[in-house]
Amino acid sequence: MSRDNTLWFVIAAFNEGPMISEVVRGVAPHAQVVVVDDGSADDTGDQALAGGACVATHLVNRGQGAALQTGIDFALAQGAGHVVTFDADGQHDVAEALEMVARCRAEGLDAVLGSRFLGATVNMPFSRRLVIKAAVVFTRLTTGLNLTDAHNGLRVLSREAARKIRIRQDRMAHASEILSQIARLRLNWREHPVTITYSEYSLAKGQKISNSVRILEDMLFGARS
Amino acid sequence: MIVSLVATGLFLFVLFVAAVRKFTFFGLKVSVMLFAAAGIYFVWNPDQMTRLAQLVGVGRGADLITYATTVILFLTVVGAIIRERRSGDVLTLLVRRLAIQQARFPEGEGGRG
Ligand SMILES: Nc1nc2c(ncn2[C@@H]2O[C@H](COP(=O)(O)OP(=O)(O)O)[C@@H](O)[C@H]2O)c(=O)[nH]1
Ligand SMILES: [Mg+2]
Repeated sequence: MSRDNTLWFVIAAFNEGPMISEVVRGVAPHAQVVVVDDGSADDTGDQALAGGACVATHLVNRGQGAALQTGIDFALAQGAGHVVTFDADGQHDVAEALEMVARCRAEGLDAVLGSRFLGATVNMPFSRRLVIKAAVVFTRLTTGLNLTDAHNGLRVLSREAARKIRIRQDRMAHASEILSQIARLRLNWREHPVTITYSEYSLAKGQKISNSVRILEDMLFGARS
Repeated sequence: MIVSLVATGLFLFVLFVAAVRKFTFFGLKVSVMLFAAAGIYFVWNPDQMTRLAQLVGVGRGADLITYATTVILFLTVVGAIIRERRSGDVLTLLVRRLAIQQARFPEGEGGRG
């Protein structure tokens, strides 16, 4: 199969040195990749480059939201037709991401959002399920979007959608922010079933429940306008 | 006596700083200066503080001071958080701009665009 050069995977990575080159190698045969190394203390940037990704480096850590926006800007400047946001820790499945892109194109959608609750989860801890379900209810109430998942990092955006959505929440609250902008901009979106794998590696690094408090705080204090 | 002198010194310092410094709002400058001046007055006339407290329905002067301190501290902290966020936003813009300007490309692809 040949690489689709109008398709860009944007991967925000923070201290993912042990995993990132494997993740990039999984994507690179199919699409272009930009990894935003968000002030990692390890060799994330070099590993990503070795795996075949373009690397944009944040000199200091600014959070996943900021990193995604950097990656999206980079991809748009390189002429991306579609943008995929993809996790660096191996939790997402490349084949499913490509299915989502195909669907986005075939149905002429602005956005396709991954849903682990339409799809599957592998070894998902109960506490994580609870927090995400709470986020889903919260998102439904605040945006009116009828979603089954929230805070899912696997998304496909058309070029137009990627241009219109501006992430101003630097840290993890960006996930809610993207959804609220999708609602406000009245983008044409669908959810698509995906599998999220909770490996030992991803769980050791993943979001702690305590961080949901920080997310709420970020949403309360708002972001720059 | 010593405590009163120290307190007076601190209020004088605040008064002086507020007098020479530029504020975003003139009203804030005046408020801070009035506050410091009132502080000096009440340090030396604690009975008046109690009278003022009773006027606004608080038992003792000391209680009023506690409430006022809490409110001022709260406002100060909120102000500090807002400023911290603003400078964080500026930092993010800088970091993001640099990241894109200095992006690295994989072997054999060179810098396109
Ligand atoms: N740029 C950036 N990415 C981050 C940061 N924290 C986590 N990530 C990335 O965001 C993705 C998901 O993060 P993770 O902590 O696994 O969240 P979870 O999968 O929702 O539990 C991974 O690709 C991480 O590398 C950060 O501070 N900055
Ligand atoms: Mg993860």
